Amino acid sequence: MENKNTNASAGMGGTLIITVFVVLCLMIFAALSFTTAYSDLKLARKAQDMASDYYSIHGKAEEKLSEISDILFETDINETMEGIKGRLSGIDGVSFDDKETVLQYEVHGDKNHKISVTLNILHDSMGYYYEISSWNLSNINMPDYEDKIIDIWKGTE
Amino acid sequence: MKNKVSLNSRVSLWEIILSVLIFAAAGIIMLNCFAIARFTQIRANDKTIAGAIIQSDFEIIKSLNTTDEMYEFLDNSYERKNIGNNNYAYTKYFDKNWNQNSMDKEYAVTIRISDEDMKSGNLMIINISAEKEKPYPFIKKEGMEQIYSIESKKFFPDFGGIHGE
Amino acid sequence: MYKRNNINQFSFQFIFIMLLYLIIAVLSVMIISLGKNIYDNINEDRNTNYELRVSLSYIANKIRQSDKKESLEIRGLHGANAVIINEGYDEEKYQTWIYFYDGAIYEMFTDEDSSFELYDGMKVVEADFFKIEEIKDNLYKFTAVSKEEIAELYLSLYSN
Repeated sequence: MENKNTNASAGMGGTLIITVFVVLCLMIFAALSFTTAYSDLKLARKAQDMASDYYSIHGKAEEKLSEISDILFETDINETMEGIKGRLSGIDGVSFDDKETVLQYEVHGDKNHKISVTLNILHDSMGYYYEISSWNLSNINMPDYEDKIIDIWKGTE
Repeated sequence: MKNKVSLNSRVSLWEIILSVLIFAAAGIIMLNCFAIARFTQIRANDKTIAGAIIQSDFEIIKSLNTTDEMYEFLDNSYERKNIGNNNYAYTKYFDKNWNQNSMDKEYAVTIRISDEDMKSGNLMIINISAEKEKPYPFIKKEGMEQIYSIESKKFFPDFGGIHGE
Repeated sequence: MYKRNNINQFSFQFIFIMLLYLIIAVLSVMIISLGKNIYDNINEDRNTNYELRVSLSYIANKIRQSDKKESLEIRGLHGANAVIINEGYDEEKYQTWIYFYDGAIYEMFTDEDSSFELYDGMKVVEADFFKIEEIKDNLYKFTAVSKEEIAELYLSLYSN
């Protein structure tokens, strides 16, 4: 009678399988962590760009305001409104409303932002001056809200 | 004779050693990835908080009526440094939790002001920036790192905007 | 006797290797849970940062878009302050109320001076706390709190 001995090694390859599994899990967690953090950083950068753009156009609006203030400061108290309008219209972007004493201008930014400024031109015994009626931020181009027809699958007959 | 199940100890030991080596190599790479992710998140947090601080200080300056009020606000809240040519830089320091702290200088918010004399007032050019004194670990950059910066202008009319005030 | 020694040696090696397997298995589980905890922390930080950033950006944009005469006011609403933006469309007057309620910032668009319940508003973003204060006529302070992180934003108006 022949003796048949079969030896099978127990647990062979088990450690490598565990290692591969652990390394795979860690890789997934590391990749998820990095993409999560990086996406948040990108959003924070976008928010920073928008704020930067706002303050940049705010600065340009202030600069225009200073030019308007200089013209009003130099204007003689006896000057007519027509004369003042003529001088102020020389500033780029400045326009007058239907009401003669309301001046408007806009400053555009890079991120679809604009600041619209409305000034009331007033005068007293000392001379002409401005009063800020509005200084508001808005979009240059509004999003397109028109309904678009979408082809919907109507099923089979 | 029964079939025997035996343990080939030499192969198992080599297997374990190999696994440990693979573990060690992969572990170092993964730890690096985790550290980069952690500090990337800290960078994003810092941008948000620095942005709120910088915007707040600029909005406070915007709400003031005269340059005297502006300089008074800056002198009360910031440390003044002469950067030459009669120009000043105003700096305040924060610790790692963004609490104002002049001893533990982890972050610095600096305001640089220059002015253009206009006929009817002063047009102030204001640059506010936040910097980290030391670079973020695991993210290779040297020197101070700028976190956030805005530049804008504020016009202070000589008469406060409305005659008689 | 030789066989017995062999059996003893075999048992010792077997136990040693099994012990190593066990240590590797335990260390693997520990490392995976460490990785999971790091990911959880990063995710929580991201949520906190998102809540703070979005709440302050939202209010800043709303205020900056409404910087017109008599457009903006602060009023008490059920014990806390709310921002009210007055607008007019087609000769009708409307108000947008922005307030904090039940762990979130809400926005409510309604006819002028009409009453509403706090839960009627639209949830904008979640926050642990949100406070609105008027510092002076043209300066407002907004405080957002999320998971014990506090962020403050001052906003000024030109039309007030």
